[in-house]
Amino acid sequence: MAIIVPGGWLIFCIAATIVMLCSLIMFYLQNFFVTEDPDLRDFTILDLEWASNEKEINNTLRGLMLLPPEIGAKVRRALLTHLYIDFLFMPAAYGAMFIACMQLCLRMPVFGLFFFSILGWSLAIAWASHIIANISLFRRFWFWKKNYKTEKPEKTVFRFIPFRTFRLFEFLKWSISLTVLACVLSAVLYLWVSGFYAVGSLFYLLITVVELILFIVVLIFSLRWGKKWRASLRA
Amino acid sequence: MAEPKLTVDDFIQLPEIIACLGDLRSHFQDHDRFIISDVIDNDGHQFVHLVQKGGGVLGVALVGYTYVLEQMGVRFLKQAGTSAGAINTALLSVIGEKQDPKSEKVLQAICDLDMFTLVDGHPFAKWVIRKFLTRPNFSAKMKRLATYFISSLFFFLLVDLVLTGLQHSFDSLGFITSLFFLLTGLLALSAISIIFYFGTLIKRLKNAGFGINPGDIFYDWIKEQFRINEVYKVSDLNAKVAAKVPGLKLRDSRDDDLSDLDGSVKFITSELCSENKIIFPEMCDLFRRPEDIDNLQPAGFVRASMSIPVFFESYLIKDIPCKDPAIRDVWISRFKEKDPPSIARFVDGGLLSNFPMSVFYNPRIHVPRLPVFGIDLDTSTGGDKGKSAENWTLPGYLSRMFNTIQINSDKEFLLKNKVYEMGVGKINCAGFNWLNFFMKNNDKKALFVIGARAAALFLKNFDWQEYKRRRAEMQSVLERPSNL
Repeated sequence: MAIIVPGGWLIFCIAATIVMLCSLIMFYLQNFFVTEDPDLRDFTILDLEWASNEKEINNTLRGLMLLPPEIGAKVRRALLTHLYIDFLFMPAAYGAMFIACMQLCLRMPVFGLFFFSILGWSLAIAWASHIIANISLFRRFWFWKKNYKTEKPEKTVFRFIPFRTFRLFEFLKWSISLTVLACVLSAVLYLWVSGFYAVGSLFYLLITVVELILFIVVLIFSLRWGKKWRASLRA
Repeated sequence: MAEPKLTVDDFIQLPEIIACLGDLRSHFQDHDRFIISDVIDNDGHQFVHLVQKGGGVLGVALVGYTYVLEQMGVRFLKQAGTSAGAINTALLSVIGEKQDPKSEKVLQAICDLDMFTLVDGHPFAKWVIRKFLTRPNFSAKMKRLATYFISSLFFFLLVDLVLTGLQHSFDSLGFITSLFFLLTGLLALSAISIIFYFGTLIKRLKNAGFGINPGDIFYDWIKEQFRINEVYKVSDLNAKVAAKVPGLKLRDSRDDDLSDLDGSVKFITSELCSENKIIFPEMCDLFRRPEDIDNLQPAGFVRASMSIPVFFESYLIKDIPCKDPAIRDVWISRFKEKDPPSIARFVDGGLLSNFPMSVFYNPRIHVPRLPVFGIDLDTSTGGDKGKSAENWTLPGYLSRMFNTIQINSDKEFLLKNKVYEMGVGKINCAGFNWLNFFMKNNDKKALFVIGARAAALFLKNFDWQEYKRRRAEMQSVLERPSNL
């Protein structure tokens, strides 16, 4: 089940760079996420992914169509771009975690090989769930774009991917990917404190850490700018 | 296990209710004739004005109270209410005609409603609310759980540290050490996820205008009740409540007339943008031009009145033509407000006036033709260490503060106009939580009985002649030249 990825840590670094770049763009786009529900209200992609019921998603997406034209176009474009970039984010993120699992399973003692192989391959389920959930959001978006004047959010039920199924896919996506991430980080920490790491991988670790610091700095600036933009919108 | 759906008979056929009505009827047979108003109709119904206090789910007791009044032939001409009182007021106003008994239909509407669905917020928030309200030791349990969780996280970190040190000397510990590291990671992930999730919920709360539940289910329900009774617009509501009662007249002993006596309804709500008490539908002109008033949703007035702060999202009226000179004039004349808001944000009327007895005070009346009845839901539990202020907890302190603000203006009115107290019946709801939307069927029935008994006690003690005498006396005192 385990596979040896040649130049694994290098590919991991490249994938991590793509993940951070995509995340930065997505966070930047998220600054524009406001909807009319029933008043001007901020939302995040998590509000859509973790909505408590069908009506909540409907209200948020329908609200995008009710925004004043000049803001509405910008917000809708931002949401769509966010969802498109997510498709680029997915292979990089799941790929990076998969490579990390494959690299770690060779170094962890006893059951490590089996455990991290399982974790690595389970990411396929998370990825598939992510794709289906995103397609569902796209379909809902286009539906409301067409029908926001005629349909009522409380009456609209999607048959293509019903809300319960959507929530199941979101659950699978988040639970699997977060569990893998926690296990990978714990294993890396274990190898670090035990001193069982390959010296060659330190260089890639350094690159990742530097990228991470840069990512956090840029993210803070982007979030601050977003806050100002939304405040100006309300003013 | 889900409880069976209640029917109207489950309430009105309760032995306590039958006994209560039987006792009341025999009381008025044995004693004087049952006279509580000088305004009557051809069928002998006696008319009163009715004010109902807010009190969340304790509103079921209000229905018990009005049921007994109706069974005794009392009917309501003008009505006002706040929050739960506004709900019962709305239903009593829109169902049927004024001379019809309505409480059974109100009960039917309540039986058809699953109160739990009104808590329509995030499933997690719903779960927490439910546990808090139905399990008295829930917060202690949660505290204990959090302590265990944090302790185990520290324990795992400590074990990691010890095992890492030991594995340099004992190679065989490598597997156990890595396992503990993974478990620590998973535990840390759970902790971070919980913190992040709480953060998201708090952000959602902020984005939702600090309301845990959207209140949409309630809004749809009350809209449906209005629709069933053919009230679609504000003008429909106004027409319905102002409809003349056939054969409405004064008792022969009176020589004044009824031409100025019309029905009306008043829902009390608090508006936060301009910081005012708003009475719907009479103050609709603050929010729409006269020709556009029907753009407002009448069910929204009830939704606005019952927007319990934080528990429900505020109710909004948007697109107020605040630049329109006519609208500005109305704001100036009513509130001296020169800069009206373009969006009004309403929360529970109970914040400012939970028992609006003052709305029916008419200074032009000398001898009243009909009394103003009030139903006071006594929700005070004496809880949180009663009046020993030094022992209060923070929630107890905050709730005392809220209550003081809430009852102050209504209390002041009743203190200054003591005669109105004569028309007030108190329902003692101690032991019931006003936010318990998860109430069991037996509790609903018990509340209904408590309301009915309170009405019976009130009717037995109410003295219409004394009420008139004291009201006339009050007016003459007010009109003395020294008081003018």
